[in-house]
Amino acid sequence: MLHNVSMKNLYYLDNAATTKVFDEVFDILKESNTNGYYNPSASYKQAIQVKEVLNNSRETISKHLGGSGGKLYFTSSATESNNTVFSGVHLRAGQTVLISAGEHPSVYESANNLTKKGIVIKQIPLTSFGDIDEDSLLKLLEENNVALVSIIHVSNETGRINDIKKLCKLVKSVNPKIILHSDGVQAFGKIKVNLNELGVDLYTISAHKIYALRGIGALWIKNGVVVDPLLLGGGQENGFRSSTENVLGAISFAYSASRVCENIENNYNIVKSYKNEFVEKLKNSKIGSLVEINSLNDNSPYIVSLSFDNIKGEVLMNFLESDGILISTGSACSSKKAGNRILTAMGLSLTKVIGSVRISFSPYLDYDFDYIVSCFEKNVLHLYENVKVKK
Amino acid sequence: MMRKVILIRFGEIFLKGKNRGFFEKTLINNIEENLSKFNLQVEKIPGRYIVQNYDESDEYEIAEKLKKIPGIFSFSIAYAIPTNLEEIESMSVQVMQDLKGSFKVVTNRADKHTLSLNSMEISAKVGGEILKNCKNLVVDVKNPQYTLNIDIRENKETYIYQSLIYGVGGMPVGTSGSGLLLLSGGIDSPVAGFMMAKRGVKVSAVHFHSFPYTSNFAREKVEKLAKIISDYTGNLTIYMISVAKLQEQIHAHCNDSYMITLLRRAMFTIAEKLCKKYGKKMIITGESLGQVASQTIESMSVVSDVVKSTVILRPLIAFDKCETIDIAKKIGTFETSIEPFEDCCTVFLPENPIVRPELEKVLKEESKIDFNELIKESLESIEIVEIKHS
Repeated sequence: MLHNVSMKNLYYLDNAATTKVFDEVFDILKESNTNGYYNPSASYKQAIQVKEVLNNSRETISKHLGGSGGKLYFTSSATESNNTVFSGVHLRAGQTVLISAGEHPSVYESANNLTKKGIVIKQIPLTSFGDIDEDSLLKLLEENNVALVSIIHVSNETGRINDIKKLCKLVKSVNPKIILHSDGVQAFGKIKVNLNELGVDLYTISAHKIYALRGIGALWIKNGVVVDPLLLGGGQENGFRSSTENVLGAISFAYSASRVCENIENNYNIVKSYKNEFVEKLKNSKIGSLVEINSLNDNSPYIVSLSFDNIKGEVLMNFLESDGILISTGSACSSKKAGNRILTAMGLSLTKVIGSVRISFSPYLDYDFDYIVSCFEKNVLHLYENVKVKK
Repeated sequence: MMRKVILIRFGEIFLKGKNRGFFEKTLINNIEENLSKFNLQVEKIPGRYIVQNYDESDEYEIAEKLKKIPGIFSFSIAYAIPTNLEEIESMSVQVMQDLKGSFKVVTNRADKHTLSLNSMEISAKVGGEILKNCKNLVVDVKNPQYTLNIDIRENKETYIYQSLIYGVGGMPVGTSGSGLLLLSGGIDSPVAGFMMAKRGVKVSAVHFHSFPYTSNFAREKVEKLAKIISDYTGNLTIYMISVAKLQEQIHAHCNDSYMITLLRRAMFTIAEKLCKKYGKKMIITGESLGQVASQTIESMSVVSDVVKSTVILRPLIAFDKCETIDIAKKIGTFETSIEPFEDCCTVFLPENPIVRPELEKVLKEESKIDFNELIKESLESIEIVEIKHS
């Protein structure tokens, strides 16, 4: 049993963590489960129809990714996709893998795991805006025997959008054989993505961040790029990922991807107006001088990182929960390893890192920003009066 | 058909003279309650309990539960047969026939009348029979690989078994009154709760939290710890009390170094009030002398000063941390205790907590806040959580 949160005013501002599945998904799944529950690998007619449905889902998502130059493979999650990249791309001891300092843990941890095999992992530093430091990237590319580069498309902490197209050109200009992977979990369905245009070799996406089921993600692989499978067995997904296919997951993924991608501009504008209203009201509130917005104007509006110097982000998050406002922290200050890798890489001071929170919007939810900002104001002032983090 | 039973021995109950009936009744109730999800019967026979008519596929799980019931000294999975020599011999051969190596037979007779042979003679006779029928066994009375035990009881039944499994020992929960455990999320307090349950105390717990200064995870962790110790204590009630306001007020008005001293005085005051209200006879803490600033003899004296008429028991008072950790590992709380979620003490943790507080100065600091009113408010925040043993 947890502390009661009044459901009267519940504002979900943690959509970068997960989203509410579209209601319509369940109607479609019910229909699929009634008429097409067969194993798509079986040979009877009914199963072949299911296989068709699975492949249509793949085509739909691929189309929205602008990914005709490659193939999309379903996985169980973006974490699995990212792990597959670092275990499956052919690398030799002594070669270098570059990852940005702003990567999600599923990239950071699985890349660092390669050091066991004698592969060198280096991080590309971020600028104070959260951008990839291009000069440093170039230097790293020139000074190392780089085989794989991984750069997140949209930061899950700050919403910073990396110019993948430009970075890709830069990487390939040094050595066209270098494989470039991008984690697009916070990009797909929120900003326009065209993989053929971006020039990446590998791209990771996730379903549950865009109103589809959990338990399904995908890895897009450009034609001609070789990645070994992580899971071996029955040879599903053309041998790339054995395991009975998650057909219902794929159907939900395709439905939700279509819906968000077909409304991408409209959604973007809604969320942009949310971000603007929230940031403006916050800045004009009594705590306007205390708040620091770590996300710039041209970041993805879906994610806003804020810092309050000298209070704990986690405590603020808990106080807001009591008011029915659900957000997340940039930093888990309760754990001994306090801090946030990405904000720290951007050069934020420790107290600002500890005092950071993350807000993430959904265009499908309504927000009362007067109420939300008033709660921020009330709680931040309360915390400033009562407990400041000791330096 | 072979009748399989679990033969249970109890420990200290023998010491209890006139109260023995009460102790035995409590223990059988505890066993029955603990095993209530299984289809079986628990029966009292002279000097033992037996669990019988259970489904053999449940045997492992039942044994795991018996290991955790205070008051049980040991138990054995045994075959029950009527007390006569032929039956004993034939069952003994059946039990031993597939074994290879050395063995001995040990006989224990509570019933000294039914059979004409004494214990030594029975062992020798049964041993001879085993030797005759089991070609792969030889006798070794000093260092045998297998020991066959023959327990002849006064109910005209004999129990034959090989091994003995130890329980936690101690006394049945409920025979030493009821107590209120100060349960934090740390390593010590769950161990203290377990130790007192082992001495027969019916344990309830109070947990002081500082939500929203502490997270939901901290509370979840405490519930998880309570769930683990409930295997030993039986169902357990947690009184959740918020001390957030208290901490804010102390932080705002008092010398920061006294934060923990003042907070602990508040906690003990609240604990005693809960004891009075819910009929608990003692406060139980996981304190160990000198372990941290709040556990020096001066700190403990100043804090205990608020408790007027309830005994405070500190079962870990003379333990080294590593001794406590050993027990925490044994009872299964350690892994959960070290999960890194703050309990209520750390949010406002002062840099220099006072190590040897003096009562006079403490009272002066305490007078800067409306102590009684804050205690009242904390008590009003009470939430009662019932933890059921699995």
